[in-house]
Formats: sequence, structure tokens, C-alpha cells
Amino acid sequence: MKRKICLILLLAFILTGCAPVKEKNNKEHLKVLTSFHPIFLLAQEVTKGVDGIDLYNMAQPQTGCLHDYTLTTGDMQKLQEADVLLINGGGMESFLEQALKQFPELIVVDTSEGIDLLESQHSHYHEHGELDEHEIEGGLHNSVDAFAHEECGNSHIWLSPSRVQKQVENMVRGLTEVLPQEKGKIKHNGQDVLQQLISLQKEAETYHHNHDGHVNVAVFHEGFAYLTEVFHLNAHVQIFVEENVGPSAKELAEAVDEIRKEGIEYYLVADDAGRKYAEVLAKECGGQVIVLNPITGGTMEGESYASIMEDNIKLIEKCLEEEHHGDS
Amino acid sequence: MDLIYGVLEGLPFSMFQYDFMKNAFIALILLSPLFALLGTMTVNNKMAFFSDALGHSAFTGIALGGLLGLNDPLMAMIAFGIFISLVITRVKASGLASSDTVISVFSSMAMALGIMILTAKGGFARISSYLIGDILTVGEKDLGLIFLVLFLVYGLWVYLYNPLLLLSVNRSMAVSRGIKTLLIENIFVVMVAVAVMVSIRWVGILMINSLLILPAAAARNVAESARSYHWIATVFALVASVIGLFISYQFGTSAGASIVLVLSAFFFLTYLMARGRK
Repeated sequence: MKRKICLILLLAFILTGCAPVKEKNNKEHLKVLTSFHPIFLLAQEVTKGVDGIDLYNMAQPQTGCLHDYTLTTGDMQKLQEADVLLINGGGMESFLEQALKQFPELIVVDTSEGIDLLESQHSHYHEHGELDEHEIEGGLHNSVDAFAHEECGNSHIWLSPSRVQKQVENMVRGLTEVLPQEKGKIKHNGQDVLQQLISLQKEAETYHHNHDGHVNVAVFHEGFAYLTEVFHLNAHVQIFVEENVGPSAKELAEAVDEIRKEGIEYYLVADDAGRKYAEVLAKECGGQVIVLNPITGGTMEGESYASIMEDNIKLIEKCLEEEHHGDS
Repeated sequence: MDLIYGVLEGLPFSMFQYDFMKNAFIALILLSPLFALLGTMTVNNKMAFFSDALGHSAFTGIALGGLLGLNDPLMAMIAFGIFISLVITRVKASGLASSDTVISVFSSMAMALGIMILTAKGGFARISSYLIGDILTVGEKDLGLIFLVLFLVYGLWVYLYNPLLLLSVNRSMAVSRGIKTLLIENIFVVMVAVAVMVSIRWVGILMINSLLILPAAAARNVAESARSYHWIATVFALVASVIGLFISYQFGTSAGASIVLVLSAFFFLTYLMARGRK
């Protein structure tokens, strides 16, 4: 028995000894960490071809929305090594709040700085845009007070083609401050991204101009409120599955009544828990389920923010268009 | 199907004007007696945590399904559920550790394994629809599958009732009667595994154990014979799910939670009744 214990202890020592020890701060490269997929995609574009930056992402690309995300040890390790952390902000990364207290030197760039959030369906009153004593010129914070001004608005701002432009600007500003020698390149990249985003926004808005009249839709992902905004769609029914609790029978029944009353024919969903409720309602009342990409996850290969957003916008246009042709 | 819909619509309840309510109602009428019946034996054999372990092993099933690239993880879930229930029975039968310990070990293992695979690969968003599992999302086609499982379980039940009962009352007596105890037990756990895995996407991991254990637990408080035990459990399950569904419709509460709460109320009422009688 004793021998066994000795052996196990010995093994444990050897194995832990073998694990590579990573040094903090390889000063040649600035380690930039992003909190999750959409921010990573944007940062990838902004830092394209920039020397001296190691960019990596924290939450796994397929994790989805961060509402009930918990940090893995891998995430903590990344936080430990990072010099700069780019976050979406607006409350999306609340899971980081506790952990960041351990890394007071980490520079946090909150890309939601100065962006008006849509009201979250769950908080009826909320004063966005007011005061921000923590707003620091340049969008830089030390990590402790980066969360101090959090509000409970709809923090899925990366799904708004207009707001995401501001996010990119904040990101560019934050990065140029920590890496002034690459200022030109970063700004240039930022301009490129902005151009793409502006044309996306225009496309969606032009569509609205060409087809007036209000289209009513049901929305099953909180972030899609930002897409309905740019298309000027009326989101009459909103059902969000959160904290693993779905709608009650009463809520679903009311949704059915509302859908029938308003003649809703489109259900905007992501491929998540909300989708099956949309399918139940579509079966009950008819209409088309449109599965959009909330950009919260992906394969990380060969996709850019703009390409996904373009797919979303094209898909919405196509579905609405078909309906128009069907009518005439 | 249209006939059943027609009958339900004829009832003086506004909730039946909605198809999804009709489907949920029918599903509950089918599922709750099934679980009540399986639950009686589960409770008798002190296996209340077994179904919990099964529910958790669904995690692993879903994760494995994802690894294998299956679109619908149901088959992987059933396969893994059957596997883990057989292993639990096997380890339990060796008598090295008490059954609650064995079950707890496997429950933790299955869940951890599932979470590990899922976090390594990503994909929690997809699995969340199984965790929630909502009776309100049962479709017409799903009802067919539920009916099929129900049919199989009832068939086996008739065949296995006596040996199972004997087994749960007195194991050594069952052995002396020449009953193949291990085989019977294995068939039983496989039945539970299939029933749990098939219905988990509508009942949800969080609720499936309550549906299995609570009706039997409540019935046990008041039943006077093995026969009445089964009947009372079945009736409790039926009544509670219908009341729960009604509450969910009327007061806007979660359907699953409402049903579980009604079942718990049954348990405490029968508990008080049983105490009063003593």
C-alpha cells in the first residue's frame, strides 16, 4: 500500500512537472483577448496584418450567448496571460465580473462605450444613455471598474448594423492607444470594416424604403430586436427562453392570439431553445420560420462578421420578397 | 387524430382551442401513467436516484450524438442510457457498494463526461433545448413515438409484473422460485432507460425524475395493496399533470414546474392522511 501511494505521488510530481510553464507577458507581442465570438470576428478584421499582436478568443466559438456561461480553467489561463481584453459590454460579460478582480492590470476595452441600448424586454424601466461617471476618454478602463456602469438593457448590440460601427470605432481607439506604433494600420483596417458595415446598413434600410408598409414579426432571440429595428419590422411577439425556463402555456396561448390578430407571418429565430417554440407557433398559426445567425458561434474558419451579417440581411430580404411576389 | 382533437375542442375549456395545448394534453395523458407505472417499481427497489442518473446520462448521450455527427441525438441517448443502466445494475449486483452509492458514482460520471465533451467541442446552446424540455412543444408526430413506447412498456409490464413484484418484495424468495433476477432487473432498467430518453426532450432533465418518483411516492403513502398502489399512482399522475397544465395555462407559470408542484402537494396530502390514520 505504501509503495502504491509513493508511486502515485511520484507520478503526480512528474506529470505536473512536465506541464509546460507559460511565462506571462512575452513583451514582444501584445496579447489581445476577446470575450466571445462576434468581438473576436471584428477584432480579427481590425488587427489584420498588424504586427505585434496575438489575438485570441475566450469563450469557445460554439458556446452561444453568454447568459449562463461559466469560465473554464482555460479561460482563466487566457485572462492571466492577456494584456488587453476586448469585451462587448452592456452587461453581456457579467460572468467576468468576479474573475476580473484578480487581474487588476488587465486593460479592458468596452466596445459598447457610448452606445444606446434598446430596452430589454425584461426591464421595463431603464435609463440608458444617462450619466456615466466611469466613462473614460478613449474607452479604456482598468479591469475593476469596467463593469461599474452596467445596465440591464438589451446588450446584443453586435447584431445592430449601425451600433456595431460604433463598436468598431471603440475597438480601434482602444487598440491604437495600447499600440500607438501600429496606429496607421489599425485605423486603416477599421475604415475598411466600417465601409462594409455601412453598406450593410444601407442595404437593409434601402429595402425598407422600397417596400413601405409595416411587416409584423415574432422574435425569439433577444438580439434580433436590433435586426427588426434596422428593417423597421414590428416585433409584436417576443418570446425569449432564458435561464433554462421556457414560456408558460398561458404565454404561448397569448402569443397565438397575438399572432393571429396581427397577422404575423414571420418568426425570427436562432438555432437554439427558442426555435422549437417558434415551430410550435408556426404550426399552430402558419407562417414562416426564418433561422438567422446570431453570430455567437461558428467554426472560426473563413467567415467574417460582415459575411454573416450579409447572409442574415439577405435571408430576411429574400423571405419578405417572396411574400410580396406571392401577394401580387 | 382529428377525432381526438374534435372531442377535446368540444370540451368547455378555452385552452383546447390551441393545437399545442391539445398535443400537450394528449402527451401528458400518455406519458404520465407510463412514468407512474415505472415509478412504482423504481420506488419499491429504492432506485429513486437511478432515473436521476439516467437523466444526467442523457447529457453524455447528446454529447456523443454530437461527436458522431448525428443530427438527432435520440439514438445515441437511448444507446448510452441502456448501456449505463446495464452497467449500474451489474455493479450494483456485485454488492461491493450500496446501490445509492453506485448510482451516484455513475450519475456524476455521466454528467461530467457529457459536460466535458460538450465544453471541449462547444455546443451548449443546442443542448439547452433538451435541458428545458417542454411538454408544450410536443408535435403531432411525436405523439406517435410516445404511443409506441407506451405500447411496448405496457406489453412488457404485463409479462414482467409478477416476477418484478416478487423481486422487489423479497429477492431471495424470487431466486428460490427460479426467477432469473438479473435478467428481469436488466429488462426493467432498459425499459426505464428507453422511456426516459424518448420523453426527455419534452419533459426535460430537470423534471423527468419528479414525474417518475413523485406519483409512486404519494401513492405509497395511502395504498393498501400492490394492486391499489399501481392504480393510485397512475391516477395521481394523470390528475396532477392535467391540473398542472391547467394552472400553467391559467396563471402563466411553467407547465413542467406546475405539474411537479401539484404532485408534491399530493405527496404531502397523502403523507398527512397516512399519519392521521396511524
